[in-house]
Amino acid sequence: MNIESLFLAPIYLPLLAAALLVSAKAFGQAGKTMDSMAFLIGLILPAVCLALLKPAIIAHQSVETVIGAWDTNLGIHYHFDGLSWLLIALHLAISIPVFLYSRSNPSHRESFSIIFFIQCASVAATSLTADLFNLFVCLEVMGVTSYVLIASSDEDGSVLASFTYLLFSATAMVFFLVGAFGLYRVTGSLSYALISQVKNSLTGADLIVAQMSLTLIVVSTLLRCAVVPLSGWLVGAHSKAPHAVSALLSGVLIKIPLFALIRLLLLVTASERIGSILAWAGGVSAAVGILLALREVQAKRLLAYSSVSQIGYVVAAYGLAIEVGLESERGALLIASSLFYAFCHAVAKALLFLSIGTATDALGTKDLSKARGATASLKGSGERVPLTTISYCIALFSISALPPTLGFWGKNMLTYLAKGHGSAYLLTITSVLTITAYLKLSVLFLPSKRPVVVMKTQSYGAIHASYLVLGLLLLGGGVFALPFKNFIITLLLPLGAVEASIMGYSAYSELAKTFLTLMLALFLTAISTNRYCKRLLAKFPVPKARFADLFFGYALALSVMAFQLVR
Amino acid sequence: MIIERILIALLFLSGFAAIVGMRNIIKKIFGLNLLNASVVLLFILEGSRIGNQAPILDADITNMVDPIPQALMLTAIVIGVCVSALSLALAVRLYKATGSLDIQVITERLQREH
Repeated sequence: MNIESLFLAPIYLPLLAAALLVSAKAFGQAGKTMDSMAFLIGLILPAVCLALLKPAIIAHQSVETVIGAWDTNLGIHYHFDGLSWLLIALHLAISIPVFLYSRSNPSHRESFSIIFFIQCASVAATSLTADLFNLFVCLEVMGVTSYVLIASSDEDGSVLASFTYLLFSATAMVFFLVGAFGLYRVTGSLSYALISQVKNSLTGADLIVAQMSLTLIVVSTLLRCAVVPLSGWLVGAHSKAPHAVSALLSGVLIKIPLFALIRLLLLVTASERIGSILAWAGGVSAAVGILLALREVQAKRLLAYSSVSQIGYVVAAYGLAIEVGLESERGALLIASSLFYAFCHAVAKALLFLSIGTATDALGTKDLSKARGATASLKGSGERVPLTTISYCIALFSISALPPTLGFWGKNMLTYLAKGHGSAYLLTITSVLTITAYLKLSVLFLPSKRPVVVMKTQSYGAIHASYLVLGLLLLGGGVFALPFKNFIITLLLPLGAVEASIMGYSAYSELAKTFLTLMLALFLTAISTNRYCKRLLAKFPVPKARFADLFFGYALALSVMAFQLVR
Repeated sequence: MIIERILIALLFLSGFAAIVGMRNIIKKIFGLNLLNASVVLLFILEGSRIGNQAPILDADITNMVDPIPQALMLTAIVIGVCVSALSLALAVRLYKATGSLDIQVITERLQREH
């Protein structure tokens, strides 16, 4: 199959689906049929295109082109390679089940689908772009669609969460533009390829301007990935959004900007310094996120804090990979394991948000101190097979890195590779605390002595279909983890990575470690349910994301990054 | 050129101060617009360093400005308008839900209902 004729399909097919729905709505023809057709065009066809492109991608074919056949200095550069393929595949793997789930919601309307498809196109475009200004546009489109999707929830506070995220992120994007301006000024270009051509001839004041600009761009992009200290917006936004949107945002959208940034980072000279900051920021995110999750009593907020913690793993491995360089064997393995873990977490977190969302809806409360007996409530509301509970258990196993799921391989491989760096200790501690936090969440499914609450009855067909897709990905991924990892390494070779295999790594020796982690976590859980310990935990201050605090975090990140670069 | 730059920097800072410091959400949105406008002006000013004629290709145009910043800023203005429209819509919904435009009052009222 010709790669050049197909590589833009993941961008224009979702846009076509959105256009179809807009016109159907305008002519009063919108309905379930139109929605299904848009689903086929906007999500299934791009997946088929990716499948057709797979042989070419494995053969390391790639497309570097200027959209619209403009002159190289003027046009927008797009670059389709293994990385873009993987990112789009990651997004589709989550967005297809999430869309199915969302259709079961009675308040699902065509306006939701329209925004959803525009977001799909923006994600694909972000993974392809090799132009700084186009990256800005893609991130803004991704952002605007996220704000709308978050605010589409019926829950109180969703609008405030969306507004806070909007204002913070839109301000940061203005700083991104200032950074793009600085780089354009000193290099005379916005495309990555042309910037990298002149980067070595920069001296004196020009070099400092370039470094400051890069700082602004990197930090503004990392804001979307919710790395500590830029994560203040995430918890409100992801916990108040509709369940399907939370799953998509927490699963995929916080990772795409990170990996889109790699094309730029690989070109600049000081990337290893940025890498070392990212490695530490990742470790700190992991630890801070899970500590905040441990004292949270609201189910969806706990999941959102855990997202901050889990993105920490991805960022830590990513930062380390850039620090040691992708040309080395360790760097190649680290970047592959970072992407591999991004995939593990995306599927597990999506499944967690969907199952916990369904369970809390059935119970009518999200408060972990009161909610019990979710399985019985779900049964009462019309779920015949307890698939919600089973799916929750699978996702729990994966996120806690227990065999036989995908997460077991992903997390253990990542911590094994990160060994030797300081943030690896933070990651190991986080692994234990993650299990404790999720055991705390599991009380939702404990049997309750009180009479069963039934909020509403509904059909579970589409919901179960989405569970099945995600659950099978986690279990099947666990069985085929090694071929999958090698596949990722192969696809990332064009980035400058090398053929590599993990020497001295055996999953069986990790089993002992996993057992120890599990025992420690159970011990901690036993302690933390103690009365005195609860009182002590309650004394820790709860962070409130006020505007000034959000910008304080932003300023902190900027100054650390700028200091490291100019030093 | 230096005076223009100082003015743009002042515009930028006043916008940023409004976003961080003002309690009224409409004023915050104004701040965002000021911030956007200052960056647009910065790009246009930069593009005009090398010429003084509009970049419309014609036979007697010899000394035109750099067209790329202008093209970029058209896009940035469009995005800015989208973001402002959406934020104003959210502000209306917040006002309807809580009866206030003050961010602290809104936060308190939403938490009390929770």
